[in-house]
Amino acid sequence: MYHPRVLRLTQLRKAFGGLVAVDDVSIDLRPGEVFGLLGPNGAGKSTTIGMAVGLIRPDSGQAHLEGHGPTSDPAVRARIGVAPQTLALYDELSGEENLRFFGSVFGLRGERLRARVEAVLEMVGLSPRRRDAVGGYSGGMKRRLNLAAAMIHDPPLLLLDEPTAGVDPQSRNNILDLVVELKGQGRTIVYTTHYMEEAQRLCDRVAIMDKGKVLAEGPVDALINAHGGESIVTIESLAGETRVTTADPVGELARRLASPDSAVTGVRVDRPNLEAVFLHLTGRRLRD
Amino acid sequence: MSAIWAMAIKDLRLLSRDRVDLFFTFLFPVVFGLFFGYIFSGGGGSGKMSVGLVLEDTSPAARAFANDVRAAPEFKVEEFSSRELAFARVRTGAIVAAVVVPPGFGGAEGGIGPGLFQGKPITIEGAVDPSRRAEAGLIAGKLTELGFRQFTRTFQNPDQFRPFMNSAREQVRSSKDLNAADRLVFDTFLGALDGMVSRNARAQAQSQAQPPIENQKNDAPAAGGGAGSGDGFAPIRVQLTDVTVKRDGPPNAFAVSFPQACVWGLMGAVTAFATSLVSERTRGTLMRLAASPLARWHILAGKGLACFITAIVVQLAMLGVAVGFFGVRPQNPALLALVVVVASFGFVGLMMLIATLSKSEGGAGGLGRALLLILAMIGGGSIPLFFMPPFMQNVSAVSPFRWAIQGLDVAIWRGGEFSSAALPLAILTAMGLVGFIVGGVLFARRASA
Repeated sequence: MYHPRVLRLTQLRKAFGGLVAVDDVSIDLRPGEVFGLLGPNGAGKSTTIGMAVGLIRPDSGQAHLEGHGPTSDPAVRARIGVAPQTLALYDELSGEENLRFFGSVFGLRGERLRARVEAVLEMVGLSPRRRDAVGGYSGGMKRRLNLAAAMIHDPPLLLLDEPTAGVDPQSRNNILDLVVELKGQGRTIVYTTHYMEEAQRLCDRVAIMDKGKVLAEGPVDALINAHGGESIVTIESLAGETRVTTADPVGELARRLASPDSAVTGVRVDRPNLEAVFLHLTGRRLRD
Repeated sequence: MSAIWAMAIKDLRLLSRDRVDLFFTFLFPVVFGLFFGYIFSGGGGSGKMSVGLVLEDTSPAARAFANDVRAAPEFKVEEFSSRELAFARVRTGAIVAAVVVPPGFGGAEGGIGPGLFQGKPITIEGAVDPSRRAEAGLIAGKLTELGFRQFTRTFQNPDQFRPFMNSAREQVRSSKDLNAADRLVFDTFLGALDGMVSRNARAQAQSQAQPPIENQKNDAPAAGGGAGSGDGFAPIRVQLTDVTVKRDGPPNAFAVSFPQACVWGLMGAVTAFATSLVSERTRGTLMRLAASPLARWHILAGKGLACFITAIVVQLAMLGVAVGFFGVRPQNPALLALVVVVASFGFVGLMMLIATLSKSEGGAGGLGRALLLILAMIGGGSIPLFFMPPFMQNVSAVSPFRWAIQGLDVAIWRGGEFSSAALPLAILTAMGLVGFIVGGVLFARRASA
């Protein structure tokens, strides 16, 4: 049974020299939700996650695991699992040895450790390669092991930083299914990604960050409605192709089809998506 | 504590799978120790045991025995005019043993031949370095063999044997303890023995093809065991007594080169683990560890423990090779153990410092090797300090290698006095503490940044 607010980030601020990386960020995570943290490179996502798990000391503000205390407390950190964007694994060790080690630093011992290693290897589909050195794994296998290492101590809160970066479609699909499965188990997940379709598929709520600030936060549909713009209805006829931008694509389509002059041969509706929201909020200008 | 152990075991496992680090930590130092050991010992030595010889008897039998000792392939013989001079040489550790051929060795009364008939074995005396008992045992065995050879030679030579025989027969005839029948039996036996020896000598002289008697008889004593070693009467006894050894220098070159090998092993361990701390950062595992319940000091302590264990093991391995294969005998094993532990601590501190000064693996490896190489060279890691000019010996005070080698030398061959090792131990401890503190502060700062 998790607390109604799992993780509470309150007015976090962090500057590195003259650069303000995170500026007054407040986010509440609800139990069992997948929360997407989106933003272009340098938006402040990683710094926010670093402060959320106690890796980086904020200049001001707090990261608090509800019912347990600040995440700077090592005992509180034991309830959080982190899968860093960088593959944080030992290539010289086998997959099983990696998991046993990370389990032991979280205090797992004996039968409990053995059982958790078995369980997470099974979850990420690496049991058959458990004794192989990680250096010989494919990129997708390493990503899955990276995720397994975050889950080894069975934490109620998971922070997954770009968990599908650079993996093949099969591994990506496996990871996305796994996130859904973890959510189904009641875990709370913070998910950062550059793939908007992933966020739209997985996340209950998202926050879009840029330049250290949260630009928008809320359920995906609400953000799309608020910031995604209008739908584009494309109508193909013998006379050619017509594109109509409208807030009511169904109504627009119905009107066009009901017209006596209509000689429609095809229609397509492009609804706004999270990517449109993202580009609308953060701009189309290239980032460094 | 269990998390620290987990960190240490993981790091030792990583070390065991890195062939380059393994080579530089364990194999290179052995190669180094052997290389310099052979160079300093003048081309590898002859494998002979150095023995002093004092000839206090000038009889033909004594001279023949001395010639056998000189010719023995196992010995490198140094001759002395008196047993005092020879024993003094043993005390300095320059030779393993001194052998004295005593007066009367070849005499008619109680010498190597007649002793057989008088129940008085001839005693080959001597002194031995008590720290080299294995060699002393081999020397005693060889001397016994040579003594028996001389004993056999005496029996084969009528000119040497007849005076002993005549003396023995005269003693039998004049004995009041024997009755007439017994006297007759002994006199007849000794007469027959005399006749047999004479016939053998004539036959030998006539047969040119016959091989030398010595060769035929060489193995005979071995079958009967060493003199004095059995319960029955033996005509030869080798009596080597221990002397207090006070050496001014190392007993052999390996006693110098293997302490150096130890510090090269320490250098390998420091370099391997200094790099590994930076590797944690570059491969991202440090972030995962920092996000775990481990405190910063747990991570550092785990690294330090793994490095400490490796440092101990590598030193024990080097010393094991030195003791097991090159006759190095530490004068104070307890002090040696203490020096090994403290040197490991000091070098772990150095590892902490190097690891936290560098931001990249290349930096840590490069800085580590460059810094350690310089410190090793000025600290006597390659050329022993006593070969260096005085100003270099003063400069070497900044190097932990100097203090580690000095401590090891004291425990191994420089007298084994704790007071002599106190300064190296104190400095290594201080270096370790400084390394831990400065490294810990830098690590915490960098981790926060």
